[in-house]
Amino acid sequence: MRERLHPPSSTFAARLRDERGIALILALVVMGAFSITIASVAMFMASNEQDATRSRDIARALNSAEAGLNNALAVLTQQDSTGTQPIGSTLASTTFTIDGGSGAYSATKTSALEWTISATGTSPNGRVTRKLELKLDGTQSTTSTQQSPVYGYGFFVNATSGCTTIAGNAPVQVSVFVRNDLCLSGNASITQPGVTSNTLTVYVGGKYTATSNPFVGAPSQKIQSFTAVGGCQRQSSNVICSTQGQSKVYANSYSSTPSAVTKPTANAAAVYASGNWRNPVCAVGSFTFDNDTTLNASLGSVDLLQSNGRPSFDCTVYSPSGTTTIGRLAWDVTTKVITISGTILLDGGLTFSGQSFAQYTGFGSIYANGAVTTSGQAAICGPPSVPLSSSCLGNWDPAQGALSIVALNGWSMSGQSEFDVIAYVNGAFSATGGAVVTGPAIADTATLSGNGKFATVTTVPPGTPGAASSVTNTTWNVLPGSWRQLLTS
Amino acid sequence: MSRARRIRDDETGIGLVELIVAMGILAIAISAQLAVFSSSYTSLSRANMKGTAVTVADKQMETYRTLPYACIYLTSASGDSTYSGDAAYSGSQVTGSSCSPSATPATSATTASQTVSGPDNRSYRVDTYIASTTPSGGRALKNVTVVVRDLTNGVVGTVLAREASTFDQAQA
Repeated sequence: MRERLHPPSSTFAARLRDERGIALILALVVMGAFSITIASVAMFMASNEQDATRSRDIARALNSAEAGLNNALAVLTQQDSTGTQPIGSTLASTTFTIDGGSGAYSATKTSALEWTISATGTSPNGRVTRKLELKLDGTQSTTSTQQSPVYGYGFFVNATSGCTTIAGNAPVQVSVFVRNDLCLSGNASITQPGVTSNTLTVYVGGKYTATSNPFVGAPSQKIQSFTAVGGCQRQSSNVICSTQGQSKVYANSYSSTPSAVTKPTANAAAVYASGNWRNPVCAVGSFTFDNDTTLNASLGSVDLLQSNGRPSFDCTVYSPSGTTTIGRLAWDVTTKVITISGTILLDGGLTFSGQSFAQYTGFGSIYANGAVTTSGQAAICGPPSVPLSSSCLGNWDPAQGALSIVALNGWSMSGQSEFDVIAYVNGAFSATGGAVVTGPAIADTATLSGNGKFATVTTVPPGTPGAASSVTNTTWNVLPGSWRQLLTS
Repeated sequence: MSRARRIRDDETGIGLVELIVAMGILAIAISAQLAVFSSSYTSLSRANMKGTAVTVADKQMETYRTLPYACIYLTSASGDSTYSGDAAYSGSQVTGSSCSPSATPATSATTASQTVSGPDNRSYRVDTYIASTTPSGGRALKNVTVVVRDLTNGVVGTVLAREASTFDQAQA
């Protein structure tokens, strides 16, 4: 038995000196310390894990928001490709998903050539959202194309084979371009108009053949130049073109150098795609430009004036988006005036039946997805001339108004008629009898047996194949330095 | 004094018993702590790898943000079963061999599957997927997905990080 070493009077001190159970206490204290350490480590570990997870979520949310910005860029560059949408236009909020994440984007046009885009992105677990903003900046450049040189010729035939024949009695008094052979017969001639000289150009890409008594130019009124790449033949005998007495070609210069001038292409598909032809907007009456949504000549042949009996109409065709005017065509049955502007397309041919007389005003072109035909008496008079029976009283001044008719499948005129228009023809152009086109005629093949009466036009109206054009292109790019991250609410 | 009382008051060996009990308790505590430390080390290591993987994924994604739109492509879209088994894989990925204007993208940007060494000196596998997508009413975009996988000891492990974003021509 242990003996007490100290008197009972000092109980507390004795208890302190008594070491019984001290090891347990120490163990508990050390265990407590261990527990605190373990808890600290566990908390640190959890915090680190959460931090890593959050970093991952932030990265995914940011990338989703970036995707939203890029989606908006892809949409805006299409929807405002021309930069013509008005200031204040908006791109409605659009949601999207990407690789488990999600987001939304929207935009507002803040100036004529600037969009402000905002996009939010959310991590796949929905815990982190990030919001970004970006400005899209537009730059515009204008590309100008000069008018095709074919309109420097009043009569342009693009045939690569065969002989283009002029057999009428009335002289052709305009510059002529024939890609292959040119055959003049009977009393046909190409001569300077009026008292002029040294202004016309005649180009023959093949052989010039004269049968009977035709001539080009005159000894007293020579044309400016004559080119026959394949040489000249008169009365079945080859002759030297520049030997005027033999060839009866009177020019100031002669050449046999081929020309690089080409017939411009009529892009009917592009014209069709540019407008909502099925649904014109008519201020007066109605008119059908197309009865379906395909360029398929579904209208057959359209009698434009119906012998001057067609009711008045005033219709405008807009672009498919409805923002741009493509063309306007109007007819006033009382005043007999056609009004044209821009480009018009008829999904069918164009006819002038019976007696159709009209004056037109404005500048524009009409595409006929078919043949242009007239067989009766017709007069389509350019300003300031006015119809008088089957002809036009006065001379057409293209500077006051000009109409191009683009025939996509041939042009045939007979009877008595006068058209003060620019005739562009895919296929054959045929003018017989007393039918005349007073503007330039551009065709693949041609037959002239009537009274040829062509003229050049300094400036062809907009929409005409090969017309001078000025196209403004808008290029959209991200405005440098405009990217920023916004606070999320 | 009775024997019983003598035995009761005899403290001989109590210290040893206390020491044994205390050592037992400490042993349990230390074992638990070691277990926690071990688990913590694994967890911290994992978190560290995730963080590094996000950095690696960010770096890969940023590479594309510096490239012209035409230069965002893969030289080959094929890969092993891990590559083709990912949800981001599609049979029609954007591939190419050159781009204009004369910028030549880094090999790392055009490689579908590659191994990179992270700042922690661990190996990571970076799989990149590039597909074409078109938002409604918009033009075509390139959708880039970067997936970073654990490659410890050369064994392809779980996905540590993945990021996806789209790229438009106007961004370049």
